[in-house]
This record gives sequence, C-alpha cells and structure tokens, in this order.
Amino acid sequence: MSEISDESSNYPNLKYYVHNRFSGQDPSIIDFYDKAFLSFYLAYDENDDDQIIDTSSPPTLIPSVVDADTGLGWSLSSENNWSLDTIDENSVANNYSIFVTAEFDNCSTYAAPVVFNIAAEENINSGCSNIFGGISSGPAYGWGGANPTIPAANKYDGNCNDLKYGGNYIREVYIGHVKSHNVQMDRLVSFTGNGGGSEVQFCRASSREQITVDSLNNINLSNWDTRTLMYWKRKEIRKKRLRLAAIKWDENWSCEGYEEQLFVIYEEDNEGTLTIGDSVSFENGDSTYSLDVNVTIDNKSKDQVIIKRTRTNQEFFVVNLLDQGCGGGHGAGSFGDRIWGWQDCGTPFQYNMWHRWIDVTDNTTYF
Amino acid sequence: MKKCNTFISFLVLFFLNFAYSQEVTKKQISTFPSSLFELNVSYGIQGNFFVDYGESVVKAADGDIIPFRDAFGFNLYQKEFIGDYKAIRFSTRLGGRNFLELGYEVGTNRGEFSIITQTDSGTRVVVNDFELDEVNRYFSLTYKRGLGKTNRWFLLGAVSYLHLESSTIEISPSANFISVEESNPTNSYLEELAGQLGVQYYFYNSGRFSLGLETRAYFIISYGPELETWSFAPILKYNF
Repeated sequence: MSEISDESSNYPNLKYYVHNRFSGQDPSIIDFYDKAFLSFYLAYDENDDDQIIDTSSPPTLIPSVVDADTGLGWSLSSENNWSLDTIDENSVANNYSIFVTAEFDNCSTYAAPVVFNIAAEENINSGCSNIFGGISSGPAYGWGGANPTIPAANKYDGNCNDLKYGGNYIREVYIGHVKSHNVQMDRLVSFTGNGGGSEVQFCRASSREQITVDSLNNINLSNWDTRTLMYWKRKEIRKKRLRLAAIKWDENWSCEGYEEQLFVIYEEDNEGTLTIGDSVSFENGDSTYSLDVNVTIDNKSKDQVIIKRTRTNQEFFVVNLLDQGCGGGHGAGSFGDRIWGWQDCGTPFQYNMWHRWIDVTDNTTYF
Repeated sequence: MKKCNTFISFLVLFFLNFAYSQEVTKKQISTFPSSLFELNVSYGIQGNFFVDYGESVVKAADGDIIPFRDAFGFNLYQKEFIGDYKAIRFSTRLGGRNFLELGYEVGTNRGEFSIITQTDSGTRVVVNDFELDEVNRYFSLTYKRGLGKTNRWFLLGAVSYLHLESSTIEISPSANFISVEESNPTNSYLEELAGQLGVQYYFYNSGRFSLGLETRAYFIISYGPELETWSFAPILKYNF
C-alpha cells in the first residue's frame, strides 16, 4: 500500500479510495469516483464457469500502468493486511478484480468505465477546452445521495436552451450494453493469426480537430476520433452473451448547432484493408460556419463493416431513450433507472447507448 | 449437473451389466477378429449440455418448450437435452492393439415450440408446433487402443473439428421485432475445436461383423474445456 501511496503522482487518491472502500466509512466506490481522478474497470463480471463473480469481498486492485499480460495487484487478506500478488488473465477472470487507472485529464474526470457517479464534491477545472460557458444552476442529483431529485427521463427535446439549465456542461455518450448474436467474426483457426475470438472496434468520427484541407480545399478526415476495442471470446458469442461495454464513445457531444458523427462497428484483423468512407457535416449554433467533411479511414480488417451509421446530435438525444425498433434495456450504475433503446438488432452485435450531461460548475448530472 | 450424474449412473449400470454377462459366458468367449481395416457405424443417443442456453428448460403440458424471456422478449433457443447421434468411422490398425480412426459424427437436438403473441403494432405472431434444431457435426481423428487381447474393449481419445448449426427465433413484442434464423459455419463461422474420450465394448461377433456399445464424451477445447455432449450408442463393426 505504501508503495502505491508513495507514488501519488501515479495513483492519485488511491489510498483515499482504499481507506474509504474498506474501512466501512464509505462502503461504496460509487461516491468515491468523482472525488478522485481515477477510473475503475471491472474486466469480468462472470467467471469461467459463467457464475457471477462474488463482489462481497474486497477486490484485488490492479493499477493500470503498463500494457502487459501479467501484472501486480493489491489484495486485502482476512487479517486486514495488504499483499502484492501477481495477476494474469486467468486470475482476473475468476476473481473480483478492479483495474484502477489514473485520469490526469480533469475534463474527463467523470468518465468511469464501470462506475458511473454523480455525487461529486469538488469542482472540476472549468478551464477545460471542451467545456462550454454558461451559468450554474440546477438540483444536485446523485445515486444513493440524500433526497435525490430524479429529473424527467428525457430532457432532450432538441432545444439547447431547455437542456442547458444555464450551466457549464459536458455531454457524455457511452456504449452501454452489447449483446452478441451468435455470429463469430473470425474463423476458429487462421494461419495469418486472425483466428479465435472477435476484436470488435467501436468507433466515432466527428472531428473538428483532426480535419485536413487539401489543395482543392476539400476537408478530409482520415483518423477516428475515438476507437475502443472490445474483445469477445468465442464462448461469449456462442452463448449470445449480454455484456457491459461501458465504452465512452464521446466525452462531450455539444448541443448547439448541427453536428453529425459517424458511428461504426467493425471487427479488426491483422491484415486486410477496410476503407470506411462517408461524410459528416457541422453547422455552428449561430451559423457562423458550416463544414462538410469527407471521411475516409483505412482499417485493418478482412470483413465488411458491421454497422455504419451517421448520427446527429439533434436526433440522437431525442430518440436515445426511445424504442428504436428493438425494445430497450436498463443501463448499469447510475444509468440503471432508465430504459435505453436497443439499436441495430439483428446484427452480430446489438447495443444500447447511454448519455448524460453534467453541469460541471456544481457537478450535477442530468440524463 | 443433475442430468450429467443421471446419465453417468445409467452408463455405469449398463456397462456393469455387460461385464457381468461377459463373466457368465467367459468360457464361451473367444477372441474377436481384428484386421487391418475396419468400418464401423453407430446410431444412438446423446445428451447435449449446451442447448439449454444456461436457462432452465420449462415445458408446457403438451411437451413443447416454453420460451424463456429476457429484456429482448421471447427467446426460442432451447432444445431437448437428449438428441440422436449418428456416426460412421474408418479405422486402420497401426500395429498391435493400436488403431487410428477417421470419423464423422452428428448429434442433433430438437426443441418444439408453440407460442401466440402480439406485437405492440398489432401484428399477431403464431408459432405452432415448430421444431428448431441444434446440430453438432464432428470431423474426428481418433486414436484407439484395445484393452487385453480379446479385441472387445477399446479406449479412445480424439480431436475433432466441430461444425455447429443452430436455428432460433426471437420475438420482441414491444419492439415489433421478429427474427427467424439459422446460424451455421458458413454464415457465422460457427466452428470449434473439440476433444473426445470414450470407451467401446464389443459383445457379439458373426464372421466379419461385430456388434458392441460405445460411449463418448465430447469437450469443446477451443474455449474451456467445456463438456458439450455425451453420446451412447450401439456400434456395428465390419472387418475388411
């Protein structure tokens, strides 16, 4: 423990977390999350025998500091002593283990791969470039907080003035749950190394930041803004598993103006070229500018794209809580009190998306 | 696990019975013939441990499976635990009591469903006595070794390339969504690597023909290992 706390620059507030998590003063890691610049990731919620992993005992805490197949994790013994153990894929898959990652970007403090919370006490740095200006107001809302005020399920009527509450806000969008449809994306065996489970990539192309302008003044985009891998074992696919993805797809999708984003799911291979092309457009809220961006992104895949959709901010937040032809499912954590519409049913991976918007002046979250 | 224990108990009793029969007729038993090549076929039953899809199989009074329901709606996935089993194999003797065998084995489990429901848009959905299949096809390479010198008992182990076929229906009334589909190796890469362990016992011989019983446990080894099916079947062998 001391080794971790001594490296506070690498593991800010981890000691605080551990203390509160296990001393009984604050049994929930939920409240902690927004007090520290950490995020937590539960890699497996079921073990190899398909049993829900027991979370009643303290988890093994694994600081995420390097990319490796094995690492070190801190475990609390029955004698209340911390020990440092070597962990690997197998131990993580069969024991309650939480990866802890330092979030150095204050602007993304609210991102939590598994634990979504709201009841924050300290103010976020409002100097973040991706936070819009405004005036703070609105009721505090926290999962498990005192007298929570639950706002109406859908505040997104398309009118940004209704949405803003006059606050400085960010608007986050997540890939929530994903369900497999018993379609393996790779062969069992591949002599080129592509066999086995499926490496499913969830991508977003929007980009006011990454565009380039060519000699003909065409505006082009050739990189994803976000791309997150979700690995599916063959077993999980065959059993039509419903899994928690909790992938932050967009950390701040603005409300003002018109903004299209390209939503893409594809399966990655180590060879082949899958060129995904489309166009997305933007229009500033006060019509000071508009852009048409040509999207051409090369990816390594031998397959066709699984899902490619153009979403706009003016339709997404209006329909995201509605049945979009596939029914709906509850979210997890603080998203759990709402039904989020399943999307693209009948495809190999159907999913729902969760969104929330956070008044960063007083750390109030709205859905 | 309960199904598995019942199945194992049944097999143990069955083989004990034959062992007893063997003891009684011991003096009359001669060594069964063994030649360089063998062709054997078998047809019997198998229990499939996957086809409940992790949910209890609940049946209506007429024996039809009642679809289990989740957040998506009605899932017509499950099949009967007991299904039929067919196999054809060609063996060659490597020398002594050792054999190498190429085999094609098929296990089929079926589930019959009846359901009447209505989507939110008013469309009535009727599934009437509809049978859905789960088919496992094993392409196997088996090593088999005789126990003793009578050519009656054999132990075997195998690796198999497994093709899976699964037909399912999903009905989501609230979403006005209905899916009827078959997933197979062609459209969904449903293929796995499997292993086998088994026993064969021959109790009757006439000329080049021998009649016996066999049981095999099939495991998925590309993920797992996980017990997939357990077969039990009479086997007819022809010696070339």
